[in-house]
Amino acid sequence: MRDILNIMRFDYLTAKPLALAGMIFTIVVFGILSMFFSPIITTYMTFASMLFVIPLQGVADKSGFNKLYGILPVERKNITRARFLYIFLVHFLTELLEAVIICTAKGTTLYKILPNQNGETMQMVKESFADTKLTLLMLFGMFTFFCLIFSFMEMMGQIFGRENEFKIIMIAIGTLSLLAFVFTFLSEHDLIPVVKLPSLPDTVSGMVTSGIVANIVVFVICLLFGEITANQLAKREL
Amino acid sequence: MENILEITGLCKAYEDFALKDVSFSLPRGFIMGFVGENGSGKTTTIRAILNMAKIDSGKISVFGLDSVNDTIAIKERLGVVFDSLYLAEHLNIKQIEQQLKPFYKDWNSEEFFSRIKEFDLPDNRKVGDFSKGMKMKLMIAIALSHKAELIILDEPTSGLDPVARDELLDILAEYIEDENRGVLFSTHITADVERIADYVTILHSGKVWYTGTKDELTEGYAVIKGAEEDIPSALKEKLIGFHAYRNGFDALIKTDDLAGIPDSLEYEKASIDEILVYIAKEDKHERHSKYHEV
Repeated sequence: MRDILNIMRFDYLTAKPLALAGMIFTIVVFGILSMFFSPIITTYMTFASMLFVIPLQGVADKSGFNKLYGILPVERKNITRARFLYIFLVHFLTELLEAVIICTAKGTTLYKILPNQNGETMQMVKESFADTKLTLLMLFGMFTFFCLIFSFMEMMGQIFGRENEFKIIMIAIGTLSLLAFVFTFLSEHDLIPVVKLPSLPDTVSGMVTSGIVANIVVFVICLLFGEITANQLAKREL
Repeated sequence: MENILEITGLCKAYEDFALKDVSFSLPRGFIMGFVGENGSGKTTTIRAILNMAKIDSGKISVFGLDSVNDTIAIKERLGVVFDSLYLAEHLNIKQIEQQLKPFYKDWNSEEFFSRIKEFDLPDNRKVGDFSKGMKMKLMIAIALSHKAELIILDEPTSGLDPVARDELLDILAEYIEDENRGVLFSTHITADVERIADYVTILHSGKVWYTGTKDELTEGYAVIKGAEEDIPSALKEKLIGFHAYRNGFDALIKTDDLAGIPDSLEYEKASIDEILVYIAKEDKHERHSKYHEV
């Protein structure tokens, strides 16, 4: 575990000089916007997580990290596992930060100091502040989507090579879209029984519980992707 | 004498290249020059020592530990300098130190920064902007800061100017003053080996051509020159890298085989560089068609 934490710290310190300014800028801009206009805006901060993830592979390729990985006293599989946990942690911490900003925005209700409180736009702002369920849905949804996408891309990139990563993602999206189309077509023509998707929870506490479950599921998937990748890479030479 | 590094019967095959039965050992307290032409297998051997390349057969022992099963314990005590930097180029020395220190139990930050000062390296500049000599010194500072007992250097002096090369060799000479340490130093610049190595291993086409002390190597071979018709027939088979030209020939020969050669043939002690050249010539069968019987 110490190895994994050290590698995660190593990845963070690699990305930090390249990502920190952008992250702070994003927090400030999205934080202010969400305080005044809609807490939901905060959830777009999830995009900024990629600042801490995307540069890593470029730096690793440019700086010959495969050599470094060969000389560090760390088990090779742990280097790979750490990358997936790092991706999860970056997204999870962003999600937590977003949750704190959302709570602060809802608690301070700074939108009340804005002019024209009875205007149509302000009505929308007020509704947005009142709709906690949608905000939570966006918070957990963005986290789940981006964390899974980045983990999947990392797995594909490490196993099949970065140059094939885009191609594989496109194939995966194409396959999923095709399956969705076929499934919908068959359902609409009563060729297969219609499957009812589970509806979203009605209460805020229900949403929070669902969000926690989503976090746990994403964590497990990240571990799984990490393990699959580590096993594949262990067969290769550095 | 205890060996700090011992390689026995190492075999590793790739599609177009193979290490064949590579065996050599480095005793504690000495520097070994690991030489051979480009593509002779030096880097592959080093990668095998570091468990970066999977070996087909053979055994590599570092500090008496197995290079595959005890790789983590070995790497705690091993310093490596590659021909290019393996660190994040956008970081400065302080950030690099922060990154690396948790990995080594014996990391000493004071030692690291004192080395950085001693080597005159700027600690606030991106390491990617360093000259090659500075990068080499940084990698050595890292190795010294976790008390590496064995330093492996893969072509560290290629591309260095003479001053930087000299500095690097001085650092290694100082490092080896502690008799519990060892240095394996791969290079094709044999002048560096002649200057600081105690032992030499010559790798040629994936095989060990020579391993032993540097003195035995340089004393053991001579370059012989003269007219081809003066070569006694018994000597012909013993010539290595025979090269005939218009006015005569030259070749490498073991000094043990020099007894009884005619006075018309001249010889002089071979340098490591010359030895490498003649080995390559022998391999290419670089002989004039007229002299094929030699």
